[in-house]
Amino acid sequence: MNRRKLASVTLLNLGALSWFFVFNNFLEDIFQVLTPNVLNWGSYIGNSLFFGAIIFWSITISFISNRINRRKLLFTSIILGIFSTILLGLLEGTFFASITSFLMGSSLGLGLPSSMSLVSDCTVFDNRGRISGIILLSTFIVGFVFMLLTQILNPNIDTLGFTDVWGFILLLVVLRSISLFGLIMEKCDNHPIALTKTRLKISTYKDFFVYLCIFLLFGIASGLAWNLIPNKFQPQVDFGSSIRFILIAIFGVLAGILADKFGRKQPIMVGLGALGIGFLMLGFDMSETSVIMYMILSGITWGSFFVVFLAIPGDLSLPNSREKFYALGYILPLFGQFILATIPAETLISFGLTTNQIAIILGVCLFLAIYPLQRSKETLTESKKQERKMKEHLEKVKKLVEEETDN
Amino acid sequence: MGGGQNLSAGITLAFHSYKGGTGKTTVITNLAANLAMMGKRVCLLDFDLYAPSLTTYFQKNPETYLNSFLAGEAEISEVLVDLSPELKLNGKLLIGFSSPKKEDIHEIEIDHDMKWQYKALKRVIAAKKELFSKYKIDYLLIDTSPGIRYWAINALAIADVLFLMMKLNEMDIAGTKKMIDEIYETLTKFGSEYFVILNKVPGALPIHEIHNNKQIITEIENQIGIKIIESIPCFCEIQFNKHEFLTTIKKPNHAFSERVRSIAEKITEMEYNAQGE
Repeated sequence: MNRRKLASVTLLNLGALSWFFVFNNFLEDIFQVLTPNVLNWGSYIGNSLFFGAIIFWSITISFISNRINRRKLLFTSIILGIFSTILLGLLEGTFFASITSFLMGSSLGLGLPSSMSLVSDCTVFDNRGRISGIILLSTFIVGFVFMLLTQILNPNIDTLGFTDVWGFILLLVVLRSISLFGLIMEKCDNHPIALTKTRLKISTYKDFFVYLCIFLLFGIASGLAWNLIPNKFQPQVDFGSSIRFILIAIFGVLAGILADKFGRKQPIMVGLGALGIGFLMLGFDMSETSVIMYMILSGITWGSFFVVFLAIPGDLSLPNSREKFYALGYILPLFGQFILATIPAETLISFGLTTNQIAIILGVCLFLAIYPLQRSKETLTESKKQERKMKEHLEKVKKLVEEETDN
Repeated sequence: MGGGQNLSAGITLAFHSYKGGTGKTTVITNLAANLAMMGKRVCLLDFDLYAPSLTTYFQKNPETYLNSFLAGEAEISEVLVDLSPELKLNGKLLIGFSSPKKEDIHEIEIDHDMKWQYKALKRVIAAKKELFSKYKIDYLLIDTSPGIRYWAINALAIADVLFLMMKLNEMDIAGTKKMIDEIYETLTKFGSEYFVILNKVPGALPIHEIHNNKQIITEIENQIGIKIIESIPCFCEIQFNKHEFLTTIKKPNHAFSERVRSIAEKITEMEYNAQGE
């Protein structure tokens, strides 16, 4: 594997993803600061435009990516990300905040499908999981550090005034700029095979659709779960969010190893199991401890799922269809989670549901995910596993030969 | 050349192929005989344990097979059969036959656990050392099983230089390319070198024009990404002979013998170049 290319791809994704996750974590607070006159609506508008732009541009770009120079596209996406982040601190009010959030979302939607496709372009079946894990590790470690720095700089971001968010904005600009180093290291031009007319089998789309069902159910379950936790546990949620970043990083790597060694379905099963235990704890006893435990288990789940999110589209797609698979791979769960995350906790409870009942519904969502999981095709085939075992055996034998010859 | 530490003592060469029927055994036996004719001390071991053929080829029925040696029931000295006097060779040709008996093949394939396999492998490595030090062997030639199988992998790991026998058809080329990606690239990390020998190259008459076609060879080299060291045409009189036996000795002026001699010369040049470095 070309290490320089790998480093470049890691930096490209690290810059985009950590920027997204850190920003997403403070999304509501920052829009409330920018649009104090419209109260909660500021965050709803900001949320809608931000996620809407990601979805719109991801879909658009995935269809025309083969006709666009990948390097220029990535460069535009990064510069737009930096520019819109700076605008966040310059323009106040609902109108300008709306434009800024749309531009920020556009930046991500323009670049993310190609950045993720590059992961698959520089990996093969038996190292895609591990490489995805390494990308997640670096993304969430950097994200964690920036989250800490943000909290040190602006301990109560939602109570600060417009001019006080500059520390946070500067950190976001630095984060987004990391991707530029990836472009400096490598050309990241279109893959030559990307221009070929090879077509995928219909069954491959069906296989991917089955995985999408799992991702969607997972997105719905984890999105609804946020609304299960009452606001009084906000300090535990804030604390747990930082811990979650570390756990996603660690479990991303572990899940990557698992995915390469035993198959892509294994991390999904681990993730669903962990999330199920988390829902059980929340439903059984909503307390500070159970909320923190849920955050920890959620970190394990997201780490496991992220690896599969990155590996599966690459496993199933061809170089000329990668962007489509990646865009679809993250849009549906993102959309599901966005819709559900904007439903306040009171909405579900106002239907007469208790937290225990909501936890049961979440459990059912996870249970339903087992069906598509069972039907899904294992993309790491037996022959690939055998091939890897043979390589490992070969290396072991070769080392043994060297040792015995030296003795 | 790979395995530099062994060069002063000798070189281990393994002959491998993606699938059977490439003429691997024919080439390796003739090459072994040719090197021995050149005055070299050669040992040929039949590690095609799953489908051994050297007993039939040399029409020998030895008392002890390599299988017994692997099981720890015999020493390597008990396995080796010296064919040099019989073939009137200038050098030495020692052959280690593996058992063609069904039960022995089954035993190797299925009965043994990994612990046994590693023990057996260690015995082979020790035997290799003994062959170079005690028997002063110049070339240890290993005939392997085709494809990616346990003892084929072991044999490849033991060797310094690997020769991939390939026929000129799409299936063979694609399979060889796959094997290079899956196995040979890993071996190069440890310093092994590998080359392709094209065998049974078909074509209309005059046959020499076809098998010497540099353009075809260059195209295939580009396709599989490695050097083709020799191209041997298809000779029906060898392939379909009722009992095929050492053409290089029986008909030294035959075109096939010339090709084998050419490989032998290249191998000795490799050794010379490596020692000169």
